[in-house]
Amino acid sequence: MTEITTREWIQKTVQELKLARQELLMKPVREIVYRLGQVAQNWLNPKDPIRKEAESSLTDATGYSRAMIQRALEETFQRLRKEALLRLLRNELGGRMKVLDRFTLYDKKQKTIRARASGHDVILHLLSGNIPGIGIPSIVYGLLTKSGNLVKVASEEPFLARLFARSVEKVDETLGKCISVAYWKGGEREIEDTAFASVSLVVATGSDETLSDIQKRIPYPVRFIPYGHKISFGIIGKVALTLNARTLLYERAALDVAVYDQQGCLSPHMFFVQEGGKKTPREFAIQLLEALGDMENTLPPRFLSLDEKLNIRSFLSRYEFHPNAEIFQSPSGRSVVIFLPESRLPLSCLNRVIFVVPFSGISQVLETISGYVGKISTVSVAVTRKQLKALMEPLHRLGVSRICPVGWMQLPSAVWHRDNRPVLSDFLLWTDWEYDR
Amino acid sequence: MDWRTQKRKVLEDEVEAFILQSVDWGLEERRLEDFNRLAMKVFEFQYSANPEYQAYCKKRGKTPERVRDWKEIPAVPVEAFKETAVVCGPLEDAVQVFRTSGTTRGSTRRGIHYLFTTRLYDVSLLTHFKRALLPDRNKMLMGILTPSPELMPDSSLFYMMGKVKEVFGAEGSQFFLSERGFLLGEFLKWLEKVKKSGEPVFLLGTTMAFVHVRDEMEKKEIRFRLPPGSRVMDTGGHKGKGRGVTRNEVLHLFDEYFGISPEFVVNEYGMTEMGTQYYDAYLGREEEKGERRMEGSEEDEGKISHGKFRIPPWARVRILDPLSLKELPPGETGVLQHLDLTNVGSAISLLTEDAGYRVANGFILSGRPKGSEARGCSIAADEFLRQRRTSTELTQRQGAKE
Repeated sequence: MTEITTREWIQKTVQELKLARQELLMKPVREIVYRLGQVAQNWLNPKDPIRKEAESSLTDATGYSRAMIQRALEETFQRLRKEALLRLLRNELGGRMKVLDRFTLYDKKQKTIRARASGHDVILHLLSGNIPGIGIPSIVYGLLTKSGNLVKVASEEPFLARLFARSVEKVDETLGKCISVAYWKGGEREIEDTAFASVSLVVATGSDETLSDIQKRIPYPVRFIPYGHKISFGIIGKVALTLNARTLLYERAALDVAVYDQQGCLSPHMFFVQEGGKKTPREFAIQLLEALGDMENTLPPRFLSLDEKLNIRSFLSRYEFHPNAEIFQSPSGRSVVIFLPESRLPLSCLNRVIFVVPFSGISQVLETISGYVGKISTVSVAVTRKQLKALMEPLHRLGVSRICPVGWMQLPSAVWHRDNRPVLSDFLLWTDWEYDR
Repeated sequence: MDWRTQKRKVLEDEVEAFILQSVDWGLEERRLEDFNRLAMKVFEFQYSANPEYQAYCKKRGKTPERVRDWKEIPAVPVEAFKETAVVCGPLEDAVQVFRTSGTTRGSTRRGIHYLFTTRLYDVSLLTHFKRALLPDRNKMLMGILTPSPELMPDSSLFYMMGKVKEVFGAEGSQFFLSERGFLLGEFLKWLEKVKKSGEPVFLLGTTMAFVHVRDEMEKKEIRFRLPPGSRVMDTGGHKGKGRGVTRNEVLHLFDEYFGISPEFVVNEYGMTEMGTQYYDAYLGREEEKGERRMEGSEEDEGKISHGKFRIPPWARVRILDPLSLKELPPGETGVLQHLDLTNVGSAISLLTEDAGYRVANGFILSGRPKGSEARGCSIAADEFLRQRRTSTELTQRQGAKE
């Protein structure tokens, strides 16, 4: 498995994947779903040897605690269980999942069109290493659409994709042969350009800079699905601070912050908190810190290098003498809430540093975030129905790709339109057959 | 007169006396109590004279009634010097303003250190400088590879160089950076001349400036053997910017190109926000010779390690965990906190963004973290150099066009 990646290796591997894919095309999609479901079940079994190996290597590689890694694996594979995959297929193909096997009646009202769809000969997946498990669904969607998958892992976390490939192979050899995992240093042009030219779809996660560089280098007509870096935040209305029933609010908000230590796009940088409730936004900030402090035991924060710690300290220093800001820090120093009574969307240095910004009305929030078109992933809310109504349409227009309850930011549904895109359909190539017109 | 001014002057007298009594450094132990008492007095003053600092202390529950030990005095992050004027008196009374370079990472904001008097700065500078670098002489011929303070009056480094030259520089001492840029040719000619005179020379400058000189000398195949007793004070080299030179390379540079042995090369570490400097050796101290070579480990490539920086009696250094700000045991790397009695008019307790660890009687710097805003005098001078060079290149190019 530790073959050195060269141009020749890429070319050879792409040929092998194309060949392997021919076999996969013969497999009915139901069977694929069933097999992949089995793979997910194995991963959900804490005693499974591959999962155990993944837990250890990911803990070492990422600096996350074992508890966090276990959580990440659970969340990832819960969303890839058989039921979830079937739901996804139904959702996107409207009960016509057989189009993945053969020409199938496409529109019940128009009986003269049949259609057939399948994925690509080879999809190149460029994974990022910030969140354990984040790259696995796209490989699964590749298999589900009967595509060959060339997976380039990130240097920070080269393990999970390999272990996943092994787990697939164990369950189904044909599927296993349709995944090849490689590593090369990002930006190694010769290898990367060879890979871009040999596949027909590139799926990548990265910064604006990385993605636009990749986009420029992908030759036509190879397709490109970029998943960019995004920001997320929460909106908490005064209703949530008034009702006694909402005692879990702080815990839920803390969970959004603590899971993956804000390393992912779905993690909040800040919470907008409404004034005029039973608790003030400043009190919310203090309570949130308390909940974050407790969470340091149940979901321990990631290991930080001295450099990372110094960067956080440097970030906090900027707010120590800020005329309006107030910093609340847990005794260990690992959880920080910065209360900032200013009309803006401050971005955090991450690693459990969260802003709380007060607001009076929804329109104020909308104005504050109006400059972030296409940059927002998830908005978590704890607001009234009326407030929600005022929020939904503007958030859609801003290009927000997900609105969810506070506490659920890290748990998108299996059918979530990540980066405003369809999930499976993006991977499909169609042929329509019109007859007897 | 503002009440703060009156009070400040009284405290400055006391601190000055304390520094001047430090001549016999062996008494340090016995004077711990004095240090603490003085630190508490200055803290009380700064607490009452700077409302922002007071609010900051209150947030931490550290009021003068509660603080008994200098270690508990809340440290002002150096970043605060960018956000606000860290002063204990009316701004218009400031006689000297020092600015940080803060030019990287797109940040144009610079920290400002306002001084109501340069008295303590000067006393501390000259006392410590004499002890570290001129224990054997009163005056020396100096070649200084920075601009003179007139050229950039808000640089604390250039101010320091100006002061040192004024007090300890023999006739013929010179600055070798002007508005025309780096006067490399003149510097080399000057060295040639003083070498012949047989009189020892004192070279001062940023570490990077000396690296530039070395490059030029290498090209021209020039080497000097400067007269015995010649010495060097280089500053910076620990800011993680520019070319990664290790301390051993620097020592080697002076040995090979100037004939100055490592015992006579001393690195200085200082900050715009603070009046006290630190040196990684005191010349002519037999007991230090063994320590001269790298104490700092070179485990991380690209980071520059140094010798042990000595702490003068009027300052203290603590190493803290960057997040919890709890003190770390000796040997563990963390962020540096300084307590500097000379900062009566601003803040005596400072939280830096520099990393290092404690060793007996001193500390070792470990370079700056990646991604943090690089700053410091060494960069100011370097930047200056580059700007000049670019403008000369431009003029030359324009000349060629015509």
